[in-house]
Amino acid sequence: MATISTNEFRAGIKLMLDNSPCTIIENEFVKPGKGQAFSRVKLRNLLTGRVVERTFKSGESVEAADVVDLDLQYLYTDGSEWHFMNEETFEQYALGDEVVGEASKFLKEQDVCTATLWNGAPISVVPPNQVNLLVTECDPGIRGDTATGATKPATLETGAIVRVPLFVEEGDVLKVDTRTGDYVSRVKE
Amino acid sequence: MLRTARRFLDERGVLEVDTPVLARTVATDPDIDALSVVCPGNTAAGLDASRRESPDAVCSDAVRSGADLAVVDRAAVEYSAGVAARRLYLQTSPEHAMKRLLAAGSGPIYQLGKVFRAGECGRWHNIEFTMLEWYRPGLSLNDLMLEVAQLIECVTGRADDALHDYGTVFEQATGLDPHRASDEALVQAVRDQTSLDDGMAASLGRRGCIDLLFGQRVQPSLAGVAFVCDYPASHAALARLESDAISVARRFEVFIDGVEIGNGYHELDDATEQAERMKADIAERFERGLEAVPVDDRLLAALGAGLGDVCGVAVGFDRLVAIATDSTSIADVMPFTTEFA
Repeated sequence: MATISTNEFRAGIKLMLDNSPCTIIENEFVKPGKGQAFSRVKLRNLLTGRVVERTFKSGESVEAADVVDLDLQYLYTDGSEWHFMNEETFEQYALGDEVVGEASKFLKEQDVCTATLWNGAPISVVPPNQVNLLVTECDPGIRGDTATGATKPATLETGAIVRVPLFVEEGDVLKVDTRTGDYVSRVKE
Repeated sequence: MLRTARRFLDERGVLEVDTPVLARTVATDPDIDALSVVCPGNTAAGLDASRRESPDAVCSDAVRSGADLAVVDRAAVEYSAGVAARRLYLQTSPEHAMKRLLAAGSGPIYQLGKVFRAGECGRWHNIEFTMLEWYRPGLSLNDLMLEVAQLIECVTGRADDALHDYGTVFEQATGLDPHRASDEALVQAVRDQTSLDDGMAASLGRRGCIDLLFGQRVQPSLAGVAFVCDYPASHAALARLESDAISVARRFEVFIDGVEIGNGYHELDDATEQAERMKADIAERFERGLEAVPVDDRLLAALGAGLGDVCGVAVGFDRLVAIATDSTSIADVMPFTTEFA
């Protein structure tokens, strides 16, 4: 079992906390009252996504977490699971809803996503920053309707709903920012 | 700001001194890690290499055998011919040398220069940092606090100072009286009120619990330029202890916006007690597996000659400059931190 000492703490280091893999966001060295030193750390729980704070005695050792990021290509979904493949090893992974979560809105076949694996099993997946998706459903924009800020909702092939400019029509392919869910531009495919 | 600080003290008749950063001895505080260097000696030809002992070994042996501390003097390890290599320490504060000057009749003195503390790196820490330390014979602790407040205002412009009693602010923030609460109550408070792992709370010791609770619960609540005085007796270090119903250390700290800026004491003027505390420090260092350090026998001799009634204070100057410039780290006000030096 690998351990990490507080003097090795840096942002990005992965360690185990209460049996959950966490990553360090921020590490602060403190020495209250000119006595013993502590490390005050902000961590993100990689399973729940929540940010927690923990204090360690300086020099304390913590269990390292076996967490790696891997590029996986999205293949398809059978409705209940999303299937990915490691392009180099051809190993396939079937990810359930709790791992994919919101990312399902922006998964496009053949796109390469970044998956986080803990002890070899994927715990989360992040699609590329931008994705091109087909508009499967949207109303024709009513000219003059500027009350809504000149946007209308459109449904994309993944089921995601984004706000788009009025000139967008069904059948258009749009570039969408996967981090914000915003329309970026139309693309010609 | 360096000029402003110097002018402030010069105008008040405090003499600037420049004591050595390298010395045979160093502070014994187990929570402070000193850096040291080995100065090569010049041993005469023909000295049998196998008879040569390292200065560290000699010191550790002496400690383990409980030898009289005056004997534990690495520099005095001389051989029949030539001078042995010796270990010199980078000072963690100019305190010892300045006290020797005070005992020799220097009058009020200040030093503004670099000190070194190993293992300390972070937003408000750097291994090498600038300390402004000064001593005021004849001034009371309250008078010294006032002077510190004035210096802070002079250098940073901040005048929003207030005085707090340690016990009061501690109780307000944690619900416990640090002077009277039991060790168990403090350990439980650490578990309930701090983000330290519950399993580690019992290993902190009484002082560790109080410090951690103060750091996480009280310090953030201190707004402006906050002076806190009357620390619990367990935090005595080199200060005098009151002989009241409860012992409080004649010590104060000053915080600006929750950041610890300065540490002041009514200095201990008792060589015997000082030697006792140093001995306890050495024993604790040994217990914790920390490097043994020699005791400053010259400081003890000076205290024996008499320090008089002196209050002193040490201010982290980089932090003061950082606060004055609205910076979020001392790294922003130093040309290069140790990491980039």
